[in-house]
Amino acid sequence: MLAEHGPALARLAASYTRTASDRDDLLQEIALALWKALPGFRGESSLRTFLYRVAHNRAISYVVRRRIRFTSDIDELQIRDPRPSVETGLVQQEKHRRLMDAVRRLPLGHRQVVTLTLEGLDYAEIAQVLGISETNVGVRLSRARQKLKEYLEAKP
Amino acid sequence: MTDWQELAVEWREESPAAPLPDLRARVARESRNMRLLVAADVLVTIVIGGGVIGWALRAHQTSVTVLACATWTFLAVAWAFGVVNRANNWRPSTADTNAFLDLSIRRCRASISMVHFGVVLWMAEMAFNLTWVYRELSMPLAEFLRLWGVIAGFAATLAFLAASFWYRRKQRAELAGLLAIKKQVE
Repeated sequence: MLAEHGPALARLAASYTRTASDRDDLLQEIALALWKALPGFRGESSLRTFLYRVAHNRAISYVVRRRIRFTSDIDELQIRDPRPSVETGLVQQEKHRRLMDAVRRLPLGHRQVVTLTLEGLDYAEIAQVLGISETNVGVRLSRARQKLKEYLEAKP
Repeated sequence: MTDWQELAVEWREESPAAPLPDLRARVARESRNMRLLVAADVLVTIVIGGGVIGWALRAHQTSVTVLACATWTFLAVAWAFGVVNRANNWRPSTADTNAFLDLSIRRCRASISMVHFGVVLWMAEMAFNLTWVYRELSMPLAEFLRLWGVIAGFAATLAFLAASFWYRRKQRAELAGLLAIKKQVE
């Protein structure tokens, strides 16, 4: 399960943190939380919804404990993964970095719906993960889209 | 492709790899630590509570019986407060994030209440114990205050107050963080 969803969880962890080492720490905490929570899963929701709930809850606890500030200041977002990718070109890497930086600048409520949308969850699933209505998901996504466009179109 | 689909493709281009921990070992270690904490609680109750009852039964003195009753009252109050305070503050990681956030906030507030209660209980216990010992020893106050046991009691009180203050500060900072996040997701 971790092998299958690992990359998605790593991206989620990256959206909550500012450095690669914090991301790795958080990912490990998420893995541990899932390990403990999985025996209690009774199929009340889809496995994917369940995974993302646990992951987001663990991420919230992590940022509160570590007092990681959510910032919209692009200069503070010095996230550079020192490990070079052998699978993607430099252009794709740069595109992903700009997208990740833009996502990190969003307020948390928007960031959560955006990351879940980008991972392929539909409105109903996102509403289940976050405990909000589907209408609220739509409203947040609409606002987030405008902000993202603004951030991505700004000069690097 | 819609905007979101294009962005999703870009988003999923990167799959950062991160080493996963030895989960079994970590879960086993955390379970062992939790069991040790519970065992320590029970041990302290048995040693102090059992010890004072044993003394009361051997001594056959009213003052020692009073001490035993007071000790068990303090223990019972501490345990009861702990149970009541923890009730409804259990924080399942599988709740939706809104519910999880609310529960985390409640739990933080409960921890802060626990600190305040702990300080009040400690001071009440110290006041009772010092008064009881002073009456039993029947010595001048100045001399009583110079006894090593009394000095140790004051030192322990200072250490306990410092630790309580530190822990309350930590919990308040966590509560502030949670409330800030709650504002962001509303």
